Amino acid sequence: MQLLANGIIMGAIISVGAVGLTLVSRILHFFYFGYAGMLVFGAYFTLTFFNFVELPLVVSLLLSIGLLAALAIAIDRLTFKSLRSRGTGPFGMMVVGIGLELLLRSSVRLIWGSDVMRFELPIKRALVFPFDVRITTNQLIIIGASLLLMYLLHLFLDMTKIGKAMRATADNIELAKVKGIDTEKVIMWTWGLAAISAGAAGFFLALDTRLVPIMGWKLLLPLFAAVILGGVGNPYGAVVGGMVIGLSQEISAGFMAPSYKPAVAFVIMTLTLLVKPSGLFGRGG
Amino acid sequence: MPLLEAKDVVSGYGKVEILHDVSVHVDEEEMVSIIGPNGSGKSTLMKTIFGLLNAWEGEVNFEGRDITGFKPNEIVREGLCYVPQESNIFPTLTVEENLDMGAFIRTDDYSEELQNVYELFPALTKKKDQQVGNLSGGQQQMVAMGSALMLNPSILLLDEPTAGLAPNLAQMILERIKDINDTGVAILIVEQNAREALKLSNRGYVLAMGKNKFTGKSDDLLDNEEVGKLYLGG
Ligand SMILES: Nc1ncnc2c1ncn2[C@@H]1O[C@H](COP(=O)(O)OP(=O)(O)OP(=O)(O)O)[C@@H](O)[C@H]1O
Ligand SMILES: [Mg+2]
Repeated sequence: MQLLANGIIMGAIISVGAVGLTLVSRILHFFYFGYAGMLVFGAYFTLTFFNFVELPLVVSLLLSIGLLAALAIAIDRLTFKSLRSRGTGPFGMMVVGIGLELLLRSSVRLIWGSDVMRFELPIKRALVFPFDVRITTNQLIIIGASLLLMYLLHLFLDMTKIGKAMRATADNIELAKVKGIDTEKVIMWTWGLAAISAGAAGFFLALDTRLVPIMGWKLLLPLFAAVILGGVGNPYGAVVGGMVIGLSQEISAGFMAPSYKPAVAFVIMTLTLLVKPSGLFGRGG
Repeated sequence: MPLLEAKDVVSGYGKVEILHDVSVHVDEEEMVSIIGPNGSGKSTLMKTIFGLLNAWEGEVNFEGRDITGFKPNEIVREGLCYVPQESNIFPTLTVEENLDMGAFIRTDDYSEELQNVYELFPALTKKKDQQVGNLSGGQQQMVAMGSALMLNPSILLLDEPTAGLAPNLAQMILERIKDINDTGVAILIVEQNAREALKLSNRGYVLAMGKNKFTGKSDDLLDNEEVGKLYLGG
């Protein structure tokens, strides 16, 4: 039962992060490794505002997301935008993305150092639920906040014109242009959404564990697994995929060494690619 | 003055030249077919007219204005709408959302156009909230065309709107296209049901190996022995 609870918490974190990654991957047509760097920056920005500037936690998170969005859009303007207009293929883009990830990670080391950092919150004891399941208040906040955030993202994608245009662009960018959608503008909005998603997931992960520069990189494999399982470009699929990956990883710890957790994500990802490359909800083979 | 005119267009992919000095034009309220064997450059011509490919030489004029080099999102604002041969719908969006995207550049109320599309294709009415990727091929074509009608274009470019459909369904779609044309929308259509398309059209062009091969009134093309033998399947 405890493993189930852990799985839900991990699943919530992965789901939140996977929504942004799936849209970015689909709209930009490549897997962006620098997303790991965005997670880490999100966590460290929030920590800085909270621990050092001593702002309230929610304000710190919101400021961090704003800063992250600006950073992501600036990076896009400086690198991917000109590559897009030159018609650079996914391989070139991916290599640039890996380079950016390395750059972002070293920048975190440079700015904040490599030592483990934590949110300076009063230590509270875990709440004990039936079946001796222990969940901390922070973890309850993570679950609640992820649900709220995913609901807000759903409203945005479902109800607003730009949200629909974003899903349309993810479906078929050429057709989006034919319909008169300014896809460059949609891409900017997508980076903004990715900042919310990555910033929140990075923060949740840091709240549940601690901050190290490598934390984003470690979450990247489960994130990709969730994205692929849910079908690249499908935000709802990413949420379900995130939950499945989170649960499988934590439950596997019941009968395997915890160090195998990444392997579980990897196996699920590989199986998906073999059996149904379009993901759980994709059409066709 | 023709409504739409492509003049001596040269274009292709990368360094490969596909279209060699191709010219077509469509007059107001006219329906014009482009036929020709697979790989003859019909889709390439449509993509070049709509700015998805650059014209290397030649020009594209619309209502007497030079629109060569315009991007698709600029061309759609001029009053042309285009339904590509492949991937012409947003599969994870619902029928209604696809139509919304067809009206993306509009800021006014378009409920009347929505209504018109559902009247033209009643089969879509019950499927409004379904994901288009889950619909049948025929219904997907209806969505693709309906979406292109949301802007009340003065001309519609259709690339093989009946591809992969059963003959009776293909005939139905072609008749709807004629209905659209009868409301005053000019149509430039690429069709593999060449004979049927020509019967509904005013004029036609035969494209072969990236060149204009024949052109003329539909009846003349249908009666032409060589066209019949080579391009209309005898
Ligand atoms: N994206 C592309 N990149 C490179 N070459 C292409 C591309 N699309 C088409 N071609 C080539 O251009 C030529 C013309 O193709 P096009 O699609 O215009 O033919 P078509 O007349 O529309 O044929 P079909 O009846 O099969 O639709 C073909 O030789 C094709 O192989
Ligand atoms: Mg074609």
